Amino acid sequence: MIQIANLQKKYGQDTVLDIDSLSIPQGQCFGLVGNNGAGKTTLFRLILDLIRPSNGTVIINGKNVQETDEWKSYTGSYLDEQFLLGFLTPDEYFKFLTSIYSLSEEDLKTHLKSFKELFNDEIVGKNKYIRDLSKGNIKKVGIATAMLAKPDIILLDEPFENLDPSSQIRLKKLIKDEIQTRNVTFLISSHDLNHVTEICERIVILEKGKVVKDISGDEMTLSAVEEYFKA
Amino acid sequence: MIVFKLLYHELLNGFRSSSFQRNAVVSILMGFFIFLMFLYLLSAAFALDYVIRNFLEIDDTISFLNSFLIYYFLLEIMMRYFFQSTPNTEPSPYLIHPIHKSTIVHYLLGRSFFTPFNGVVIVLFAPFAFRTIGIEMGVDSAWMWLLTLITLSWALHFFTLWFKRTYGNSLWAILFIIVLTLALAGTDYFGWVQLSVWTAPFFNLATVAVLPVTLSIFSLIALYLLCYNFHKKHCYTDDLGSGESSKIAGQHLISFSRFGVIGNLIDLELKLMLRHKRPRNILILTAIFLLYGLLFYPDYNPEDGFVFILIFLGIFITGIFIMNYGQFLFSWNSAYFDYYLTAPFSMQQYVISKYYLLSGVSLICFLLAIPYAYFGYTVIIANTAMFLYNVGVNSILIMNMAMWGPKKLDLTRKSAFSMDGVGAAQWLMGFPAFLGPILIYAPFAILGISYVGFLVIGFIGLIAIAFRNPLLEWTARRLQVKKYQIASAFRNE
Repeated sequence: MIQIANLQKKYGQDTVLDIDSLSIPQGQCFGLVGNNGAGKTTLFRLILDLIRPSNGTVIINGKNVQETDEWKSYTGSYLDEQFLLGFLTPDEYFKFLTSIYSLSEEDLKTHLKSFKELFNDEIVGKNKYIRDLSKGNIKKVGIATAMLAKPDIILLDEPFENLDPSSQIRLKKLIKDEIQTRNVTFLISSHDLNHVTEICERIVILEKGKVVKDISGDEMTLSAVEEYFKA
Repeated sequence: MIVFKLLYHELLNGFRSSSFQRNAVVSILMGFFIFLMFLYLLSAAFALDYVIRNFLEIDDTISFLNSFLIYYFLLEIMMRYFFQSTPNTEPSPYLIHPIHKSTIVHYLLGRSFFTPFNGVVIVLFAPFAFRTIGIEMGVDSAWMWLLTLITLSWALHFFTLWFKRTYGNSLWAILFIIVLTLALAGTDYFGWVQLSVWTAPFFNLATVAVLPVTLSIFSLIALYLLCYNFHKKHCYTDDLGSGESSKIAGQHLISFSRFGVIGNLIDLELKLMLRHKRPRNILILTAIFLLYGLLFYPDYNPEDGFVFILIFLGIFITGIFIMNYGQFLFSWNSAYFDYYLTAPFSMQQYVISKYYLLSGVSLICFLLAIPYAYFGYTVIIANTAMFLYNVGVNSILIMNMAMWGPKKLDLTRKSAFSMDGVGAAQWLMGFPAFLGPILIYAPFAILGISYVGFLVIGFIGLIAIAFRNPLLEWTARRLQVKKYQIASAFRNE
């Protein structure tokens, strides 16, 4: 699904990301962890063609992301507030997206229904601009928009940050349900090792822009990941 | 003194701001303009007596000026309303510390007082007071009269602060003030209600008695207290910082969503315009510029044919929105530009939506300007040519120039007269829009066939409109290349 080859990003002399090769197959739930400044957001931005790579390519479904717009129709993402139109109400924003993705009213209804628990009656039907919502609620709106069109690939940067404990648990359930019901590829970055090891089947640890650990299958346990950060 | 510490913080805030250099350049330019304005005002002030006596041929200059003062003050209210910023020091970091709320509010109000507007009245009327009133009626009279005017003007300062805080964000308040002033001036002109006659005695009295000056000093104190109480009562972070929150503007706008993605994007842009002060002011400015023709067309004689001024007016009237809104074309979306880059529409659709928005408003301006035909059929031909040129050439031109180092705009800030996002590029953008048609027109005018110049301008516009698709494609390709740079500028200011 996603192939990364020789990907480098430099700012002047600093190399902030340097990945020889990384391939994420369809349907995988891929977790990205690393300390601050490890290059997680940079990698996500490169995948989404938001910054120009100094070197190398990102290929989604056989096509270079820099050369086509195709991937945009089946890739949902939420990295930060730069992805939200803060001057709309959540309802207006959902409606706009429904229309952009040519979905039906019914699609939107079912989608919002699956988010009902997470939204906790604080988002839909409230006459409030997105920018005036609390940080946690802004994040919930962002995640809901990333998942709205049932995309094949979903990128979430720090989805658990700013969420209260119940919301964190509800979000985990939501992601797990999504993985079970359809063949979706998740890319999730997080500082919270607990959550990310619980939902992801593969964990890649970045440090100073390089992949230092790539674990999956049986050896991928919370303690194995924690082990790395203790040292 | 706590006040000095607060001032010191404010200075630090300015110096350490990430955009200090840019702000400094803009401030120096602004300072220069303000200085020029004061020079103009000063020369006007010294000429005041002479102008009234010799051009209007009125001997009693003092009572004539006094009857006019009411309009000066009405105008001042309008100017203050549009351009004077409300105290916007973020008080929240101080509210939790043991500083009296009253100190903070006095500080905020005191600081707001230092605006050029509060000097205008002195510059404009002091020369008249001492050179005319002082000589004719004595220095005491001059002082009393001048003090009355100064305190009244300063009272208006606090009135404006209070008014803007209370009604500031509604479009209706602005319209109300404009309509009220026009109506008062109109009724006075036709002699129905003689406002100037009613108010003149007050100012006449000010030269001989202390009552008016006492009254106006009291009104200054009263309005300061009104302001003080209001701000003190609202000295909470959720009140002072962000005013409106629950009112959702433009929900039931005409929707273009049936035209697919492009229509949807235009819808968004319209909502953006209605929900933020700065683009809203651009809309108001566009409407005001429609009236710009009234200043010039009455002096225009259709027998003069296709004179240069028609180009200027035509480009302005039908193109002011393209220039004003277009100079920040991409900056308007700076808060969520990353989303636009990952959303399931192409750069081309994005660019097309911008093009239709610019040309749509231009078309509306053109249609609204049709009544100018009253001043001659040449006006309509000129405006049509300029409209075609604006839509065909200038819109594409401005769209491409807007990619030249755009800056992040923080639209949630409320200042009406913000220099945020203004750089060298934005200052220069207007010139090519005028330069093009002038260069086309000049050779024909020299040959004495200026009407051909207008036809050619219109024709070039028409050709550009016919070729809009390849032109927009080219624009989109340029944006595709520049998008990384623009997005990164929008991300970290």
